[in-house]
Formats: sequence, C-alpha cells, structure tokens
Amino acid sequence: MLKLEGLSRQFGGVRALDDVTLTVHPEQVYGLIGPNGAGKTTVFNLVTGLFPPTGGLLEFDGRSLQGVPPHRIAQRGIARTFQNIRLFQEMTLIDNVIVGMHAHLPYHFWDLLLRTPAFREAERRARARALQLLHRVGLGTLCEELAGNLSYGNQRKLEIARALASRPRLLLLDEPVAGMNATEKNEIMALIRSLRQDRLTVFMIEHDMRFVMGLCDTVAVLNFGRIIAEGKPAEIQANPAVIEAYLGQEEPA
Amino acid sequence: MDWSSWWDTYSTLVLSIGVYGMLALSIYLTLSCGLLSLANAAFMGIGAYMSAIATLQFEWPFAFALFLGTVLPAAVAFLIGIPVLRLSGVYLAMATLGFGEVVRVVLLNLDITGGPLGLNGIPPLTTWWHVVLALALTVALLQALRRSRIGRAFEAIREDETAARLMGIATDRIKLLAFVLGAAIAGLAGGLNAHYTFTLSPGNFGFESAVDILTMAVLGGIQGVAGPLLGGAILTLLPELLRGLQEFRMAANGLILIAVVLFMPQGLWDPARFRRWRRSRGTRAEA
Ligand SMILES: Nc1ncnc2c1ncn2[C@@H]1O[C@H](COP(=O)(O)OP(=O)(O)OP(=O)(O)O)[C@@H](O)[C@H]1O
Ligand SMILES: [Mg+2]
Repeated sequence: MLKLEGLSRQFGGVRALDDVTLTVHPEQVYGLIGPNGAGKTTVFNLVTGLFPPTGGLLEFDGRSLQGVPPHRIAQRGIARTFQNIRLFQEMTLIDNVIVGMHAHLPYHFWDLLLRTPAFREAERRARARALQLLHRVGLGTLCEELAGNLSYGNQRKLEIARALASRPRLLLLDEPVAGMNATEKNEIMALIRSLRQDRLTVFMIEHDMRFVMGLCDTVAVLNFGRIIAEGKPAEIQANPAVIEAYLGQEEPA
Repeated sequence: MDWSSWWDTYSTLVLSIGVYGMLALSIYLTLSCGLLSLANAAFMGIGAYMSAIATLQFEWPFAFALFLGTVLPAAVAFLIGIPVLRLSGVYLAMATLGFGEVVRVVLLNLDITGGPLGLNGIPPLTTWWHVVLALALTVALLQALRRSRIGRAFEAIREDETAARLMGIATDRIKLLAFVLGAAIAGLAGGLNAHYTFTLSPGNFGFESAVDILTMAVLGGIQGVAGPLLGGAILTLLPELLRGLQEFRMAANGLILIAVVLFMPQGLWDPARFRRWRRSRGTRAEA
C-alpha cells in the first residue's frame, strides 16, 4: 500500500533519513519506533508531501507521490495527526472535523451562494457524520466547545477524528498517546482496534512500548535515520541491536 | 431642516458610510483567510477609474460601468495574486503596498486617466439604493461563504495553513479566491464612490487610504461582518464629529484608535466579549 524505497532526507548537513526502505501492507497496523531525533516524524512529513525527499522513492497504491502537493496526497487517501498537536484552536470541535471533510463536500460555488438543496443536504450530512466521528472518539458531548479549550488527551482524540473525516485509507498517527493517562491510552487502543476492523491501514509512531507491542503487526526501528530492524513485535523486543539503540539512548546525559 | 436639504448636505457622508463599509469588508475577507493584504485601496482606485472612464468618456450605461469596475480589479488581482500570495505576513503587506504604489504611478502617468489632474465632471449617478444594494449583496456573499466549506477553509488557513493543506484543502486556490473577491468588492466600492464625488485623482488611492481601510477593519473587529461595517462607519463619521476640534482632529482620531487597540484588541465588535459581559451580568443578578 505504502512503499518507501531508499528514502533519504538531508537538512543542511544533517542526514535525518538515510536509505529508508519499508512497506506498509493493506489493513496492517505498522509501528515505527526509535529514539528521539531518529527521523520518525520526518518519514511522515515526506509521505504527506510537506517537503520532498532528497533521494529515493515514495509510492502509495502503486502510484508515485513524487512532486504531488500535500492536499492532493490527502485527497488520495492519506490522513495524519501531529506530534505537536495542530488543531484549529478557535474553531469548534465539530467544525474542526468538518474541515477534514473539505474535499468530500460535493457542492459548487453557486450552490453555496444560492443555498441550493444540494448544499443544505451536503452540509447536513457533514454535520451528522462529524458528530458520529466525535462520538466514536468519545467527544460527542463536547461538539460545540472550542478545540483550544480541550484537555491535552482530548485534543489528541480530536485530531484523530479530524483525520478520519477525510475517509482515509491510510492513517498516520504521530505519537497518538503521548501525554495521555492510562485510561485514555486504553481508549485509543480500543479505537485503533476498531479502525482496523473497519479495514483501515494504520502507520504509527509511538514511544509507549506496551501500546506498540499490543497493537502492531509489524514494527520497524529507526536509529539515526536508518532502519536497524523490522519484524514482529516479539522479534523486535529480542533484537540486540534494538536493545542497544535504546540503552545507548537512556544512558544519563 | 427638511429632508431634501438635509440630504443635499449629508448625502456624500451617508453614501461614504456604505462605500467604506464595503472597503472594510473587502479587507476583512482577506484577513479572515490570514492574508495581510494592503492592495485594496489600489483595487478601489482601479475600479473607480475604470467605471468613471466608462461613463465619462464612453458614455456606457452606469450598470455596465460598475460591472467593469468590479471585473477589472478582480482580473488584476488574479494575475498578481498568483506570484504575490506565496508571501505571507509582513512580506505580503510590503508587496501589496508596493503594488499600490505601482498603480498610483500608472494612474498618474496615463493619458486616459487624466494624469496628475485626474478625472473631473464624473456624472453623479450613484444613489442611495445603489449603495444599499451593493452593500447588501456584499454582506450576503460574505455570510454565504462563512457558513460553507470555503469559509471554514478560510478560517483553517488563518489558524494553521500547514494543517489545512494536510486536510486536503487547496490552500493556494482558496487564498487566491479571497484575494480576487476582495478586489472585486473594493473595485465596486470604488466605482460607486467615483459617481458621487465628481472627481478622481491618483492620490485618493495611495498609502494613506490603504492604511485607513485596514484601520476600519481592525477598529471594528474581524469576528464577523458587523465589525468592519461598524469600523467603516465610525472612521467615516469621526472626522465630521470632531470637526469642532479643528487642527486636533487627526490627533484625536489617532488617540481613539490607540485606545481601542490597547483595550479591545479584538476590535469593537467582539461577540466573545459580549458573551462574557452577558454571563457576568447573569451571575451578578443571581447573587
Ligand atoms: N524541518 C526541519 N528542518 C531542519 N531539521 C529538521 C527538520 N525536521 C527535522 N529535522 C531534524 O531531523 C532530525 C530528525 O527529526 P524528527 O523530528 O524526524 O525526529 P523524531 O524521530 O520524530 O524525534 P522525536 O521522537 O523527538 O519526535 C532531527 O535532528 C531534527 O532536528
Ligand atoms: Mg517526532
């Protein structure tokens, strides 16, 4: 479904990604882990077209993503959340989610000027579906609140709802449970399981090992911009190179 | 004082309230999309000259003249918007001010615009209902946009352009739309303005009026269409009300602005503040 081949990205002299090759298969939950600054978020930024790779290939559903602008990539079916939450703070929850449906609101400029039945129907459906999505992530009762007023954990949930609004086939989650308490983590875990049941493909970055090991079919480990291991969660946990990468990181600074 | 003599005295002022309301709305449109564009005075000038030339020199019907005065600035905005809207923040402000200077110099040097003398004897065709109709259409357009995918896209772009793009919004096209529509509204306002002031000169549409238009929107607030309308009305009326102060008028004008910006940074019309007021009065009543 998503294929990265020999992908590299340099920032000035920094090699953030170096010859990264991996494939996310349909209906998989694929985990990407690695120490801080390993280049994980950079992978997502390249996949969503925020900046171009300095080398290598990117393919989604057999079509190259080379030079495709971010909004087109989103329209092809890739949605994401952000490590440093990027909601529309001054908009309500429900409007945040409806923004995610932007490309799926099938009315023209004259429809909205004249408020035609097609316009009203599309808007009504969008609201109904947005409300459904908010309920799905457990925020239904807060739908008219401003996004900026939400707690940290709830903001992360809202980001997931907004990403789901575009009906993606591939969902990229950048540290979805960072800063969450144990209850919230369990809720997100249940949510991702139910998304998989809806046959959505999930590609996630996460530091929480229990979370990653409990959810992912395949895990890849990134260290200093290189993939140092890929495999089933149990294999990864036993891999000496991985243990060393993490131990090396956790030595007191 | 009977109606007709009152109208003779104050018609210009009343029509100006509507026209400047439209100008404030035109900049509100771009601001609501996160664009600090100061080109609207220039677009007003292009619209004013275009429609005045149409009625004065070609004797075309007024409606057609206004149409041209709306479409020409929109077309110009489309052409310059494609390169210029890559900029943002202060850089966009600088580039659009620069564009305004170019327009002023062009108006100053063309023959058809009358050069430095400008145009005189423009037929007084604008009546109150033209202004009311144009203003009503503008408000209706902006309100329709606000409650649609396009209005939400404007707001999303203003808050976080990168996130908006990643939500599948073609941000470049949406920003261009806001810029072009803003130019069209400013151009129409200019066309109406030209046909009750009788004269046009290039100096009317320079840096000062660009800043005036921005000030109207900032003073009134950009939380909705009411703010710019209020700001436009106040800044049109204020110089008249302060006439007694004579030479201190401009200073008083400036002081009022500073006070508003300091104490009401969201502008005069701020629904959130109104809600807070209502709520605090409610709790006091209960106590
Ligand atoms: N836009 C950018 N400009 C310059 N350098 C960047 C940029 N984005 C990332 N980097 C650099 O690339 C490297 C990898 O960063 P990245 O954010 O991908 O790491 P990460 O694995 O997501 O880390 P974390 O676990 O802290 O989120 C870092 O050295 C970072 O400073
Ligand atoms: Mg990261």
